[in-house]
Amino acid sequence: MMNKKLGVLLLLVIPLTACSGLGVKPWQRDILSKPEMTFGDSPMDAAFDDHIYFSKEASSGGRSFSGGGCGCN
Amino acid sequence: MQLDKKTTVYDLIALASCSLLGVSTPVLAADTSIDDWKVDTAILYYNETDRVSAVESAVSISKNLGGDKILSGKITMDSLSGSSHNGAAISDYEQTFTSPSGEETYTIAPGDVPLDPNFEDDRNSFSLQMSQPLTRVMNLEYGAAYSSEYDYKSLSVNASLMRDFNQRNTTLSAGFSYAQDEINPRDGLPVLYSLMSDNTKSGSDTKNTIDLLMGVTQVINRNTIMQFNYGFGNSTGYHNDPYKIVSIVSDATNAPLDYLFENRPDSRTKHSLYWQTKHHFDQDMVDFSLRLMADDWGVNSQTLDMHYRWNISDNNYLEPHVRYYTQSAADFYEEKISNAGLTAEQVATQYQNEGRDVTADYRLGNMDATTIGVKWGTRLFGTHQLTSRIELYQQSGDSKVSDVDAIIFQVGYGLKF
Repeated sequence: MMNKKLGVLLLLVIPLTACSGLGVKPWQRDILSKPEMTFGDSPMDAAFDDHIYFSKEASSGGRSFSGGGCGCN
Repeated sequence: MQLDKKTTVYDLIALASCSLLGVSTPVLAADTSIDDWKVDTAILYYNETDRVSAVESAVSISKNLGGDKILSGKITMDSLSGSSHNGAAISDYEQTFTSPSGEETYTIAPGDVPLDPNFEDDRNSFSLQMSQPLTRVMNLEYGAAYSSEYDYKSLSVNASLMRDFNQRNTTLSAGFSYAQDEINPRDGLPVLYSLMSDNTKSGSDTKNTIDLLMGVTQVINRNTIMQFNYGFGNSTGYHNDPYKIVSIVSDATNAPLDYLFENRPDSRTKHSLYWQTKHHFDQDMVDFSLRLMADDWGVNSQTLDMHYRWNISDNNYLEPHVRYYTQSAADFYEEKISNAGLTAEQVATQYQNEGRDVTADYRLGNMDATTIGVKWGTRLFGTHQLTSRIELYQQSGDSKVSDVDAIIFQVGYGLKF
């Protein structure tokens, strides 16, 4: 039981510590602050695409919530 | 060259105070350079060869209420018409179908894809979304959406919490969405396991959907940022497409005997993994994503998507786009039902007694789809943005029914003030 808890804890902590070696300092964000480097920088395209692919395929979501709000599938 | 020392010092102070105040780019915010108002408009034209065409237009308005509290509203309207596959299999015989209203019939020639020519719908949707910082490193987003079409209504609410760690290089997010849909065709829903020739329809039904989404966004280095999401979705209630039928064919002659209305399970659970990476080459940028999805209907899918943003100049870019999608069929997908010597009524009774699910909707069959396209964007008057894109979308699958070619054309205009 203890080992299981330790395992879960390690699973949670390892990715975070691995991530701590990555990244930039605040003054190194010149490129990251460009609009095209933001996730969701074209919300109109994304919403239209979600609607098209939701109505034509059996999968949805992933990037955002998968709910469709339309009777197209 | 002489540097303007005064400006440089002011710039450094400004930069330093921004960093101290934590106003440096939060990684998950949709657009951090927001002015007081932001307006986005777009119109999309979608046209399938010999099938459906649609026009969809949308207006989105955001207002910064101060303190990085942003309220957004969006209206989308779409209008759809044309021919849609009714579910029946292609036959060597001429086939006659009754329209969903039961008032008209249409005939399909031997060898042709059975398309219902009377497909028509208008849809309006409205949404309101609020984004507000809770602390220097925590942001809350919540909102609601409503959409209404001729035979379908949907109401949903959502909320997401994001927290930055590690000097804003890591952001964890968790969110949920709950949607309640009502399916209400004019003439009612087909009675379960009824045949097209019965034309027995009554009532309406509902579907409830819960979605959970957990994500990590990680800055890798000065040029690269990644996002990983896990999504869980569970829906219960009415999942059928009330206009889709399945052919019952004679195993002796292959002739269609009648058509059973499709019946899908009354619940669905989906899991998805999503990974997106953006890498900037100092001039151009590549955006790559991969999505894996599996559900308890037996559908497994993989989606690869890549955009390459070619920044031609400070104000112009061209963005080629490629997408590849592949899915496996749902367990209850059958192109047609063989009668095994029974009458159509006996087949329907047998399916009912066994509580057996069946659909011939090609969107739940084996399918591959590719999209290729290009987008052009230009900045006007400093803060205005004009974009247009053209894309070709192609589907293929188990039979000619799945062969769909579509063209997508979109123009958008956005401004901030």
